[in-house]
Amino acid sequence: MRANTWHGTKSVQVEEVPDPKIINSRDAIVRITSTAVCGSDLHLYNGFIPSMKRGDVLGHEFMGEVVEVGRGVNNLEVGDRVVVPFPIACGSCSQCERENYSLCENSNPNAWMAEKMWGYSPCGIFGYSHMLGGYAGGQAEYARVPFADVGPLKVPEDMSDEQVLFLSDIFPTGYMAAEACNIQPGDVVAVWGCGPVGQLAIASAYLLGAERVIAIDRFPYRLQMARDRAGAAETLNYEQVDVRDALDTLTGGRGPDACIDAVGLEGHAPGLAGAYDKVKTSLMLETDRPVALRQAILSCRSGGTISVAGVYGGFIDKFPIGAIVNRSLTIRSGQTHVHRYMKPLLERIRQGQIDPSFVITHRMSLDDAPEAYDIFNNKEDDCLKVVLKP
Amino acid sequence: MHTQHDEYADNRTTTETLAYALGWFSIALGAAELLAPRQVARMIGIPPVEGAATALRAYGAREIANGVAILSQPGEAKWLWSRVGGDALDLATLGAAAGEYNTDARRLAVATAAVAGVTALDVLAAMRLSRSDDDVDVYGFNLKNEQAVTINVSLDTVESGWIEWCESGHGRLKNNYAIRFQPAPGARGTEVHLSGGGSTGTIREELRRFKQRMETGEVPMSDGPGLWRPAQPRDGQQTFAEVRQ
Repeated sequence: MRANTWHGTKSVQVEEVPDPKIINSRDAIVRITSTAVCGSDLHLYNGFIPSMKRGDVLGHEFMGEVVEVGRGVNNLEVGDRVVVPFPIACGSCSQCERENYSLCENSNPNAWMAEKMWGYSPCGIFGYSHMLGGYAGGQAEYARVPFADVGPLKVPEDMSDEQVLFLSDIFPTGYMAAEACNIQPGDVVAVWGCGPVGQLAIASAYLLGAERVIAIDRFPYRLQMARDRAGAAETLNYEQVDVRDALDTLTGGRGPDACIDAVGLEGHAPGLAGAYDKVKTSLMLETDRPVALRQAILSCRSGGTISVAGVYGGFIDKFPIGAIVNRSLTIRSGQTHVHRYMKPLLERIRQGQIDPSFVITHRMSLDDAPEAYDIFNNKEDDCLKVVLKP
Repeated sequence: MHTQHDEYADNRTTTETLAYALGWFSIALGAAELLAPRQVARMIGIPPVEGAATALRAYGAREIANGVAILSQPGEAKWLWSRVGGDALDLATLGAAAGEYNTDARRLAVATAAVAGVTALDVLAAMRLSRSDDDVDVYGFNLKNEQAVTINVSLDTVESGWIEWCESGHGRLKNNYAIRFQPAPGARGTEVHLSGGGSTGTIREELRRFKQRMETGEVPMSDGPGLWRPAQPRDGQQTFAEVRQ
């Protein structure tokens, strides 16, 4: 089959690899009909995630048709149309029982590697480094899905791929970020980062009753989508305005009730603050650039909530812990427990409350994956979300 | 009530205090040797010539490094043993100097006695720390190299599962291990404590695989185990020899 494979920093290639087979009895093989490039794939592309090897098949947002099931899978049949959640979860460990699927204790066969690197191991994830399981990803014609009796969600035939594909990651991720804000009537939510997750966090905050959402980014096309499609009341270009001042004014001096960081470890900032983290990460003195997180913490109203949806991997510097302590802030975070949200969010899409496909800007063939990564990474051609068809 | 644990802790604390003192002594002596080698040479009865000063500076650097190591890990026997080695070198140097015509025999004797005294303290601290490393018998079991995991399954099932696991040939432990099962509090399943039978990594991996087997029925397989092949499907791959049933 053809698959998009990693070949080093800023290098991916579509090449011929063997077809996947059932290895564990709870595996299923899915013929992929749609797959997407995620912002977190860019962290692999830019070499921020350790333990990648040349030839690794990328991709963790995918859906398709079941073509083979292992004998331990009783709830799926050949021909079923399914969306596959990006975290791999066993469904029976204590964390899965608590519905903390991204903390599954059994799904990472290379957990020792993550423990060496980080001191702990999260769940296994498709196409996301060897230390997170070394599983082949879904930017391919076929994928092996472990614990297929737990993860894949059957979707109705009358819904299009584009409507349901993002149940695999970014819609639940944006939604969980908004849910973590514990939104109350009258609440103003500020969202840093208007990539796909940021857009869906904005939309989800409204679904959950936010009074107003303020969106922050530096690309005009992203801010425009936040206003026009996600529904943000105000947008701030952080290269043009002082974000803290602007948020203060826009909220009558209170500060946003909740702040969502949908940026993560490759944040940018103008001026000294941005340069500082660039230098520190280049010298390996910190692994992540927490510019958005710092600003969110400093901007939030006292007693408010910081919800971190952006991916952070390691260690950061100049973390304003004083502001958290002295102002009683709550920080909530987590890799998305996708399984928990798939059914309820499918229902919201079905009822027409939201159509997450509004984030799609590019539809390309799997063979064009190298170009897709390039334009997405460089924010060229107003690229926000690429869907690939094998 | 003075429990075994308290007694152990008291011994350990006394020894660590001694180690700490020796660490500071190391740094003080080292600083003197490094910064004022000629004065030190005169004090111990050796003529303050350039060769002696150079040697003393090197010894000083060694003392400081050793002292810093002790202060940062006062419970580690190896840093104290390293001091004992340094003492032996010092004593050998003093002994060699004793035969020279231009040395001060009385000062040399005093210095040698002083070093011998410190050596005795070093040996005492090193031996005590080494001994307590071996029998860390804090709560009635050996903490050293013990690894534990909680399995979300009842005690009976885990115990019989372990027997089956070993008989099935999937275990990778050497024979000399100790395993203990106990219920986890609040119906959280069963704690499995394992020590011996291999390196810490081997023990952790064994526990992880056994937990996977007990909770999910099998051991999930990676497309790219380790880092020696890419995470992509492979031709001719054997279907996993399942441990289920």
